[in-house]
Amino acid sequence: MRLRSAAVMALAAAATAVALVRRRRRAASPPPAAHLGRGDGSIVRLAADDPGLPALRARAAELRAALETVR
Amino acid sequence: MTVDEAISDLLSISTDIRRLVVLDSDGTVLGAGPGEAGTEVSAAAGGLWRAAAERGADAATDSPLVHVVVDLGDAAVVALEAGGRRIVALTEADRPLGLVLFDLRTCLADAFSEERAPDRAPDAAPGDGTDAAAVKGPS
Repeated sequence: MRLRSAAVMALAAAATAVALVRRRRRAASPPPAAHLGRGDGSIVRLAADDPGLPALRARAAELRAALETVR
Repeated sequence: MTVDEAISDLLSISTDIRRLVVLDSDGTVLGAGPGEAGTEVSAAAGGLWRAAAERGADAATDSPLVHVVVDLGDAAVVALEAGGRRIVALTEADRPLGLVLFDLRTCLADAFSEERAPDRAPDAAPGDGTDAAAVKGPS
């Protein structure tokens, strides 16, 4: 009985450790701020600090404003 | 299925997409939902596409751009091109990107399925998926 509860506790500790590692990894690599998909299946992922992102965001904001009028 | 029907279908099943507009290769608005779209959508979509093509020009491949997704924090803007047409959409934030792109591609395929039907080989089996394959590019 004691052995069984020790095994359960060990499993719970391992699961917590895995969850922590996953959370840290997610925090370390935030999702890309933009994707550019190509016909050959390749994808260019732009991070939040990509120098090309502000121009792309400005254009996307214009498109958003235009799309918001579709109602 | 008409363009308006395809748009209506997509908006009725998708909880991710708020607004969308289908554009012809020259930027003409072919359909929009849930309301009418003005010419400003066409100009803005062209602007985003050009900016994305410019940014992606330094990539190792010269394959053409087929989709652009820009995260705006509380929403995302998606533009996708297939079969010479473009579809642009405003979506909720943090939604499964693959699903949104699939839905938009399907909407384009459905909207122009009748137009492509005469090109189908006479012996092609109905529902063999050749229509969808012709419009859907790799993601």
